Amino acid sequence: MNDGLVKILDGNTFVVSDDRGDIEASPTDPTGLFSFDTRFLSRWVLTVDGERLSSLSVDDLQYYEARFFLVPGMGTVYIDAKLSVIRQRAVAGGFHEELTLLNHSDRPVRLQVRLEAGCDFADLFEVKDALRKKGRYSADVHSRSLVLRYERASFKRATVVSATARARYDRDGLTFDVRIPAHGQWTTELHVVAEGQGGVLDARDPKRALERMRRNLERWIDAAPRLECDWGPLRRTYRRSLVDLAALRFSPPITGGRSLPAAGLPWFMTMFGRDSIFTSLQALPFTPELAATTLRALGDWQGARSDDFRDEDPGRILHEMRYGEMTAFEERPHSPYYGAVDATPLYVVLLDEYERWTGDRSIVRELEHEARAALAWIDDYADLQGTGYVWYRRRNEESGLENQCWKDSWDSISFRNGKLPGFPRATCELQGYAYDAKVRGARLAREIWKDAELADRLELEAADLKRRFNRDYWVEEGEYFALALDPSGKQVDSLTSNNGHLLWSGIVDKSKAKAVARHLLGERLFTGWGVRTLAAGEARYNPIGYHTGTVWPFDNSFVAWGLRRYGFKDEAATIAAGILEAAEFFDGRLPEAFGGYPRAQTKYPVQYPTACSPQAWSTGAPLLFLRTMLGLEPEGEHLVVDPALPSEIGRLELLDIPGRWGRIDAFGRGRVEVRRSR
Amino acid sequence: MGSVRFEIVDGRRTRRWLVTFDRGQLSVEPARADAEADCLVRADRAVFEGLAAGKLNAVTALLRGDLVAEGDPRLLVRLQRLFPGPRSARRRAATA
Repeated sequence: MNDGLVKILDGNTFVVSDDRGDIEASPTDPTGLFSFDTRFLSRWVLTVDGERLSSLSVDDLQYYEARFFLVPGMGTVYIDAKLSVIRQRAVAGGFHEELTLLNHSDRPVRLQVRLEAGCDFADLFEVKDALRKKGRYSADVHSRSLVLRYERASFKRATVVSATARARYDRDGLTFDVRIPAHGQWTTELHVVAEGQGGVLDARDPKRALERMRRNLERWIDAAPRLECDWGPLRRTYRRSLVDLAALRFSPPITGGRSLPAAGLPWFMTMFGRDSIFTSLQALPFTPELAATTLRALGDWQGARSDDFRDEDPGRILHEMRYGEMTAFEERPHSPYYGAVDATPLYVVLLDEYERWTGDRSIVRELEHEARAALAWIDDYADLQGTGYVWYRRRNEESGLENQCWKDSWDSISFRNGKLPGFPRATCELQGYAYDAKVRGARLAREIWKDAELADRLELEAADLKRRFNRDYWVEEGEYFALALDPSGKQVDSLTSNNGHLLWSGIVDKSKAKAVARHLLGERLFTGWGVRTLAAGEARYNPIGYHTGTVWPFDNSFVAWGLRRYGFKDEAATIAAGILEAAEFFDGRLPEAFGGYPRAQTKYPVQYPTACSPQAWSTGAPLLFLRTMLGLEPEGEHLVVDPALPSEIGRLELLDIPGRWGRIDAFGRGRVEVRRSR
Repeated sequence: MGSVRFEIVDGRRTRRWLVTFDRGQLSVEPARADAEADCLVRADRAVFEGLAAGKLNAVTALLRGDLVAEGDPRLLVRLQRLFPGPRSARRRAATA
């Protein structure tokens, strides 16, 4: 489960190293110091008298801080520990390392301590795709620092390496001549600062920044509701989720220091429309301020024109923002890229849900223009076939995304026989989100914008969409909703987890909900841990296929919420129990996805091989499960609590839930007997 | 609401304009070098011409260092919407 890498981060600055603290990145390897999607250190290797060190232990102090205990030698049987080395590092206003050598012998020693430093200035996209650099490298050796530089036309990046102790600097690093008395010690601080166009990328004073981050993390944990529970694993998972969510917070340059959830470490420490919205929804009862920042930042970046390269349209909410070299030179469209079709309706859903919880009407007024533009986009730009549905087809054929829904891998949308449909495609959950956006938009228009005409129109459109959807997507013989419509309007007839999102959106006719719920908990979709992305029995089903058979905790958290919405409390509790039990196997940190094998077959959840961790919407999943199990629902100025908990949870208390009611406590007792075998 | 001072560098000369927004109302006036603004944007004349013609993108120009900005970055993001986009085959859907 552990890849042996040690990761620390602050926003989009992060360091990934081996367990000795060393970085020896190959062009395709995601280790190094990264900031704003650029690698600022690809080599950082410590030697003592020319010898590498080995690791005795690593302490993950906080998400932004780690400590390595090392001894000279390379893991031979016997270690002559006359010397030990402690590297304590943090990310805060750059990358900082305190290096301490302890002499355990009764004689003074003379040592040569060296740090090799180098940088390839790779764009994160280049690391992923192993591409070559087009610019020029240089290095300036000063008496008190080493500056590594990269230039391509006007694009300039630099890494400045310095130390507090006297050192000899050369183009490849720095060397200390050290004398340590008997039983004495020697210390230096090392600073690595990333420089971008406008100078230092993060100019905070490191010591003060670190202190502020410590206090901030404490405040973050204190401000969240307190969880009391008989079941130990849930307490651990909850704590892990809060800490990881703190780590995944990201302050894009436009938010004035306020943060929103980035998508995941290490590849996805940036603003994603879909991931930021889903995570904000999951975390709403716990940390509502994330939603406010997400809404404002995505509103600022809302599309304003039609741009084929970026798949941008007026009113469209962005998919992904990047700051690296390939984005700067328009070799990638992420400035930002708009190729997601669900983020725009979900933007309206989040705005409404945020107001329902917090009563913050001012943000609904502040973002009225953005919300109206998002609603208009659904009808004016997303209906590519003129059939009254939301469709997608990329206009950037070179580097745009083929599948612009959350299941965005190339083979995620298929017929039962495995055939892939043509484009455009209209996946079912998009219609659900569009329906929900119209219903919620109507409420905002009526109650807050005082625009009854718009409210009436949206309600009529929603009702019409629901009626047509239940006719056109319903697979009669199987009694579930088709995954999508193909360009000719034919049903893409696979059975998928998307049915759960449809329940969440409210687009499903009451008369059909029971059959849908039966499928979600049925043998083909439910593994005993959770609901598969694609049902067993479909041609492309593969228990370790990224979107074709694995179980995604995030997906399941919305499936359970959907079941609950239609009154299937026990079914929702069953899914919650399965995923939360799986979390135990990952120390409370749910991965992006795990294998869709039947639970009885593997006994433990098999992590999907390349899944990135921690990932924001997996981190948010336990939070949404808590909301669902406790049946928390704002009703006017009050919070309704209607628990349906799995029996092993025993007693559950969630204290000080923030919202328009101030703070309120919720209690529940486990009573749902969960069926576990599959 | 906010104001942006544009500095258009043309060889050794720099032209300055102050653009003020207030709820969709926009005013433009020549500015002195010390004119107060929430945000400052500076670039060569050729860059501004590219932006005005929809041939250059303000965000990538900023990332490349062809455009320099100081002050409130949120304003800059909102401001770049004013520049036209590239030509697109895209039109509103038929049902609009």
